[in-house]
Amino acid sequence: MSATDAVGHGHARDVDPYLLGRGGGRGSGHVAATGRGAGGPASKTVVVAYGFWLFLLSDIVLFSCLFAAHAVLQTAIADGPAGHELFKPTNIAIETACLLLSSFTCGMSAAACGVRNLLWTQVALLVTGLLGVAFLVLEAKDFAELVEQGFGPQRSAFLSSFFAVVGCHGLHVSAGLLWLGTMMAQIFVKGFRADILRRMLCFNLFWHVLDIIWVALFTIVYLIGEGR
Amino acid sequence: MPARFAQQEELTNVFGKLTWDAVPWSQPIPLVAGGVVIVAVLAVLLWVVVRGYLPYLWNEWITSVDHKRIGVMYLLLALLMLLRGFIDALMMRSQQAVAFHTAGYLPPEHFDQIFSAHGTIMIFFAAMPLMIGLMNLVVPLQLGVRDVAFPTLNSTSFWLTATGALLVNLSLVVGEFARTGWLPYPPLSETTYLPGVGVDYYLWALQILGVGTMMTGINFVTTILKVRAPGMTYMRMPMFCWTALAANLLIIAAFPVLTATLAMLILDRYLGFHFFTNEAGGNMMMFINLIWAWGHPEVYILVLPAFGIFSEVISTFSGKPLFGYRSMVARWERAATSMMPCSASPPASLRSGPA
Amino acid sequence: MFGIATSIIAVGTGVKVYNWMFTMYGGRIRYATPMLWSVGFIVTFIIGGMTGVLLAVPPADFQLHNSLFLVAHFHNVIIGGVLFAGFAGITYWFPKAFGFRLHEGWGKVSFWCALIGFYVTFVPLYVAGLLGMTRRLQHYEVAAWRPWVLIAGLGVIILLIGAIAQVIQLVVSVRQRDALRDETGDPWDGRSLEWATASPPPAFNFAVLPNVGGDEPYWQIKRLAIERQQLAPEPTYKAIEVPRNSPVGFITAFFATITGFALIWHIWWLVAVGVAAAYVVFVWFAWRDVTEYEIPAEEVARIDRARRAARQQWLEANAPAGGPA
Repeated sequence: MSATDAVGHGHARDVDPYLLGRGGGRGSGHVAATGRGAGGPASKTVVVAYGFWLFLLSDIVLFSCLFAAHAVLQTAIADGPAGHELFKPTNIAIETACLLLSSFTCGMSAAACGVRNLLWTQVALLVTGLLGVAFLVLEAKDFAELVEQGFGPQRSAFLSSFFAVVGCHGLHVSAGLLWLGTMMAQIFVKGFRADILRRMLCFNLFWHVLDIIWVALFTIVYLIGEGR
Repeated sequence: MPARFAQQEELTNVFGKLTWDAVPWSQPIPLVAGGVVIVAVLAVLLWVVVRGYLPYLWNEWITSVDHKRIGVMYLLLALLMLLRGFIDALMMRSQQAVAFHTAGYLPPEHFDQIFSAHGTIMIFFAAMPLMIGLMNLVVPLQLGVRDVAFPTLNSTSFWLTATGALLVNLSLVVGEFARTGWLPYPPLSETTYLPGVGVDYYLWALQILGVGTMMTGINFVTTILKVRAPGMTYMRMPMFCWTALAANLLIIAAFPVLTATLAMLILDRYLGFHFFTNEAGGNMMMFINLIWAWGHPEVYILVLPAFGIFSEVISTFSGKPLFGYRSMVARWERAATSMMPCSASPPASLRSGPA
Repeated sequence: MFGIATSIIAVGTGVKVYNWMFTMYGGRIRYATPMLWSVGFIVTFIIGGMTGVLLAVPPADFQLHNSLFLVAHFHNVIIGGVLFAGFAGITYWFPKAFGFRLHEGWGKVSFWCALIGFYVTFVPLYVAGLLGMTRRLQHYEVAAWRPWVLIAGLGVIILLIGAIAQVIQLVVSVRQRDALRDETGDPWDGRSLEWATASPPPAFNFAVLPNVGGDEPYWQIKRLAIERQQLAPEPTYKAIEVPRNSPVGFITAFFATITGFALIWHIWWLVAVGVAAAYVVFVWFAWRDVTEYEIPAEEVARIDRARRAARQQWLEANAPAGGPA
């Protein structure tokens, strides 16, 4: 039935098993792969990175909800303090610098990964982590001070949304630091395996997006808030 | 005073707010219903263990990452929850049939929980898993590939959905359910008016479900766009795959809104925040706007796969290719992309102020 | 704004309904259970859509918002749309998942009970809504509503019979599964690729990924095979890597349940335990070294040859006239 008329066409059968290509598969052995994604399933790296980007986009939607809530509640100060009475520009500037610098060192770790340099990858990741911790410590101190003065999230809707949006970003940074620690451990134990590299790629994307969100947050909450 | 610290003992009490009073000893209907379900579940578990099916179930189904098995489990969950939601409907209809000039057999606090549970279960635990289950079962096969992009994530999605269903059903025997209807509008859903655990059951069940559904959205969009058989261009995909794509894109766009909104309500209830409260500047209308920014895309998430199923079935049983494939594709993608801006405004009638 | 949005939805949906109807027109229609659900959907969804357009008119909506009219409308579209689709899909793809069809007779019974039960339950609710009855009423005193509420109560009994019929269908189908067996994997003369596999498909779905050359690829495959009276030649079988099963999903959900319950009841120490456990599960999962296992080429060949043998049998049994029943 089938094996006997396979002479010289074995290779066409593998790429076109149901003989659907041009000339019923007898003519060419090529896949007529037209259109995006029509060359068969994409490679693991592409699939993982694509999926992770989608997750990051969904996270951005989450933050935009919190930003929207903040925009609505920015003036709902309930006879309490408004933004410009509370925010300390110096602290915020230092926090921003820490985060931006950590993004840079994260990029450095990706570069070190690219050349498979274990030492510099770990060093860059460590510095990234330390800068992240510095950011969080400063932010936590800010929060604690506000709460002490009686300007915690329970004081007014404006403060609720401020603590929520900045706190949500801080939670993401904390989760990122946990992930960072795990990545450092994994690279140390397992080396630059393919799946570890894919995770490094995802971590890098995550950390950079957190930075972008901070820039948006900084603008909407602190800069625009200052003006009210 | 922040709601959380209202009772100092809570911090040191090992069981938090949980006491034996949480079980509805004095209410025969939930007590008997809960009792029957617990006995049935234990009986099934016992039968499985005694007959030696547990290793098979564990190895072949519970830990499976195969999209076909996961799809079947979703469908099973959906049908069970459909039954539970239908029983709620039977109770509501029978209550209304008898409660003319009488109180009926369901007191108001109980009736309120029933219509809330009916809506919540039907939308989140019957309709969603029904559509997601069918997409799981069929989409990779229709695309000519071996599985979805992230099989283990797929398994996690299913089990988190089951967790949400379990929590909602647990509220029948331990505690109570929300009395707000299927969308918990403030200020009723704030601790001022509903300090019990009902709304909390709703909130956490849906937050967990939301995480699972988000993962499904990411999984299927990646699969449909990046994992297809060689030669399958976009315009050669079956219609069900197109509608699955549109629905999952909507999931990615809309479910974060649900997560954020419910999180804000959780912060109000647990930590005394003022997003939606009556005082300190809270904005109750904002909840309605936000929740419907999720709610309108949600009904499209439900109905688009349904339309896809009909396209497949009608085409097969008429023995003809689908008429107007291209215009349908254009329609789905336009629907998906226009959903988010359109849904930002809630139904006009909700703006007419307090009834 | 609401009116404009509704028009966009309604017009587009109307176009889709025309597409489906034009698909049916001129075709050889078989009224198997999935098709019954589909036709039932077209009728029911159109009615529900029209009441939706009615609700979109602001003066009407002012009167009818949060009345039983609204309730009847959204049940009309959800039941007619999503639920009927669910049952159509389940009946249609059940043989693919389990290897045998569902019993047709009981399927038809449950369809008719659902259709009739739906109308008997919800049309009275439309009327009651127009008469002013609001939603979520625990009791009422308006005599004019009573007859409609009672009829709706009757309707829900019909739906209950339909639900019981569904359960009976399942039980009967399992018992008669050998008689209802799907031998070839293509019980409905399908057009898309899922029908190219055996029922149920093996873990790897396709022994060799098909190379798709046009629309409705499986239809092409079938037509070619029937024309030539032979199956496509046997491919070269290779070993296939399949992802390993994993308890991670289940365990994560287990701890999510515990954490959720603890959060609901304010058991804070248990929340901490649950979250910590979730992190541990994540790290444990991330530490795996082996994520796939291999199905050897001989095994793939054995499974696929069985599928091909079944198809060959079908081809021979349906030889000269070609085309399935």
